Amino acid sequence: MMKLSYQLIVKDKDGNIKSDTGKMDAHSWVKQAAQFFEFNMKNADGSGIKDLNSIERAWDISSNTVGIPFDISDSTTGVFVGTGSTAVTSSDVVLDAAIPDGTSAGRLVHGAPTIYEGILGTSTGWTHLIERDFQNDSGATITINEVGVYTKYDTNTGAGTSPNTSMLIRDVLGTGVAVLDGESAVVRYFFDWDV
Amino acid sequence: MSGIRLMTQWDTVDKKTGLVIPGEAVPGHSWVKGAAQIFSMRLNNLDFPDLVKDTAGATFTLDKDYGASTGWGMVVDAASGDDTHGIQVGTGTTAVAKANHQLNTKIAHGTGSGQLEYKAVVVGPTHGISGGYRVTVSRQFDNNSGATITVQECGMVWTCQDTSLVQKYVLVLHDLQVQAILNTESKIFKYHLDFLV
Repeated sequence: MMKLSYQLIVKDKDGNIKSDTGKMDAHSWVKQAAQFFEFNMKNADGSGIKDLNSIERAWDISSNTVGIPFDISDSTTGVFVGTGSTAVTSSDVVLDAAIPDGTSAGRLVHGAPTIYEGILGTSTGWTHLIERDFQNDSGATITINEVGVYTKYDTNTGAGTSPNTSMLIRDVLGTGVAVLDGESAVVRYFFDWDV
Repeated sequence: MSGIRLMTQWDTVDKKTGLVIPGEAVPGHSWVKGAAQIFSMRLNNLDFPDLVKDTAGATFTLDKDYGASTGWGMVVDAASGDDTHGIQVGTGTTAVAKANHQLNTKIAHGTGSGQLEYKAVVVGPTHGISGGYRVTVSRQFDNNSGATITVQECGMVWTCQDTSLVQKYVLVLHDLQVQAILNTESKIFKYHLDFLV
């Protein structure tokens, strides 16, 4: 079994941990994740992947002009958060209500993805994680209700390549996590590969 | 249930008609170290920082870049006759360990004693199932060895490349499976990867 978990930590203005959900069972690889595995294992161009706007896109397997599959080192991919709470379905293509980057009302400053290289052994297998910080300088409390992971790839348009973004994972939190003005949230996804 | 659920299945190919008689899908178990290493490399888009062990037991530095034969490091599309990657079968019975890098005793491709003919790997299209979506990787094995061969273990190997762009093979799945394949009989082994909500 390959298990997915997430964790959300809130830090106060001084950087001290205020709350921590601990590792929570994540649920939701969505259709686009299955398609990414399919096209990567085939090593062939694919089609029919929905982007964040639900438009079906083609996947150019060999192009890395802009898009590299699964790559979370680019700030336009990786972990994202939102305020939506609609239950996840496997056909979801975007967070319900993604929180945009910035310091204005309703926005969080999206930090660069934190890269953890390597894997760690566990009692049942191996684990690794991805992480991103979100700083609240909006002037008001923002409650995070959903988290997810986006990736990007290229579509060969015939006149060059065009980058696209698709969602791989989406989770709705059991209880929303409030991030007060001046506080920050750290969101992690763990990938546990078990024997 | 969260994550990627593994299911396995053996189908029988009817000798007279060629029709495929499906078997029962049962849970698979065992992602091994190579899977975590390759996926971590892919998520971070960085050469993997520690040495990775290939199916021959040699270590190498896993490269992050695209290769024509190795794709982005997760390729299973072995052709007919190629037993280096894709789905492999074997006769070993030692319990699976998380750091396994090869089958205990791989059955080689061929028609000689103790050999099976490996047909081309097929990666099925993503399709909906109850609770999510499924991708199936399958491979047919023909027994023309002259005697029954009892498969005891199965695995999946991804092909990738090292930082010198040399093609490598890394075990990512390993399960103990018992399936007898009679002489002149053909069977298909399937790994179902179920992406569940």
